[in-house]
Amino acid sequence: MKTQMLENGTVIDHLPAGTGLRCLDILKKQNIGEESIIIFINVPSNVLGKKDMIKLQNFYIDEKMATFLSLIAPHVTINIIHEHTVTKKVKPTLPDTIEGLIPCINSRCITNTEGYMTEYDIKSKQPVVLKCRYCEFEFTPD
Amino acid sequence: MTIQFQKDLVNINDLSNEHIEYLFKVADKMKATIENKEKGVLCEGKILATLFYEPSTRTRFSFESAMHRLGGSVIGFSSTEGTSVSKGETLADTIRTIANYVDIIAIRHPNEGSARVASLYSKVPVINAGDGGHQHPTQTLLDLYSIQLRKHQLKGLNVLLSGDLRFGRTTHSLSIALARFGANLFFASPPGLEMPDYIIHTLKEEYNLTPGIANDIREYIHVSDVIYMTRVQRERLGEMEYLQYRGSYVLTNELLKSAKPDAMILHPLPRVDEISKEVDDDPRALYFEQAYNGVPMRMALIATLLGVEK
Repeated sequence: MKTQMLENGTVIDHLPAGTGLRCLDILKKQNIGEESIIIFINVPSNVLGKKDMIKLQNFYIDEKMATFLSLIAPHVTINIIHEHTVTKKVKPTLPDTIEGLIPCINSRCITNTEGYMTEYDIKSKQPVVLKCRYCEFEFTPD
Repeated sequence: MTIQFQKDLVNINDLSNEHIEYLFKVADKMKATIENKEKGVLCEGKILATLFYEPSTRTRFSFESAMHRLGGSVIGFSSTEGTSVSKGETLADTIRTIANYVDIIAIRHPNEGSARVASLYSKVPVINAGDGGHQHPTQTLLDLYSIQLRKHQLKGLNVLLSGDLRFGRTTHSLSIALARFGANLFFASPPGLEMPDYIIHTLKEEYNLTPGIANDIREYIHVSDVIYMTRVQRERLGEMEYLQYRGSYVLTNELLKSAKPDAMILHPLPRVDEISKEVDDDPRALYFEQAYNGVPMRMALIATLLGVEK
């Protein structure tokens, strides 16, 4: 894959095969606007065997979004591109706790009925298992 | 010896084993004051709010009885009709308001995690009186106290939890607490009403306890020192699902023939049909004594969280 094709923007690499569209759905909620998006699915990968990849023209993702993507794709690599050159390469690491980002999967959780900010302890990083601090429900985001 | 408690009781894990043993001793004293018909004075001038967003008989009445017996007074609601909740007020706003009027709050709410929200927004102590299918820590305290009074220990006991373990919140708090005290656990429930994975996971990971699991109470009844029954949680199931489970497990005198002669039969109540009425006459049936123990234990908890217990 030629990152040079992107003049400015972000390349989200090492997404497990099959997770690219889900990640794209999440990214599209972040006001990407009318910028071009390229998604590659089932690309051969030395690390993962097969992987998905997303390129965002003229859009840079923040640290919070990088953490969010790492919940779904623990091996994700974020490449920041300026003028065809990778100026920053980030491999986000999961913290021990996270706030917000995703709703609790338990429909009976109070955070889903009255809109309180979710809080999770990360019980396991591989595979990712979150434990809601409100209802204590444990789940794997996917 | 003074022992420091957290401001709130939201989760049974807010209490250490030392806290719980301390509450046993305070509850013993409270029990004596009830039985000696002493006038309570510890909470004179204090007000308890009972905010019950869901129906309750034993829990609300025993909280209110406990506060009255401590010499305090009670305000609250037992349904949201006639309150601002029915106008759409959030839990956080209700709590921030009520906390201005009272010294301590007991809350029951249908959503899981609601007691934690209440504790975060309240300046006065909050006691979780049941949050959805999540936890019911004061029930756990009185369950532990009931077992302690009869068996004089918790460590090494074989405790069988049976019934709707999926939504029966009392069993969630109780199994964690029993594991902490070193009891052995056995779970018997119909397929589909099993103990949630996160509880099993916590028992294994944090307490190195692998519970015995079965779909039929007969598998473990003969080895159990405590047989803890729960009803099908109709309010958390669809009607068709409820009908599928109703009557699918019933503790009868016939089944109890294989139980230990000194086994304790407990139930958080209300009972529907999971313990046959004929069992009430069995001296091992202790669920009404268990319900009584809720008053001294809640007296102990209220007095302790208010810092008036000496």
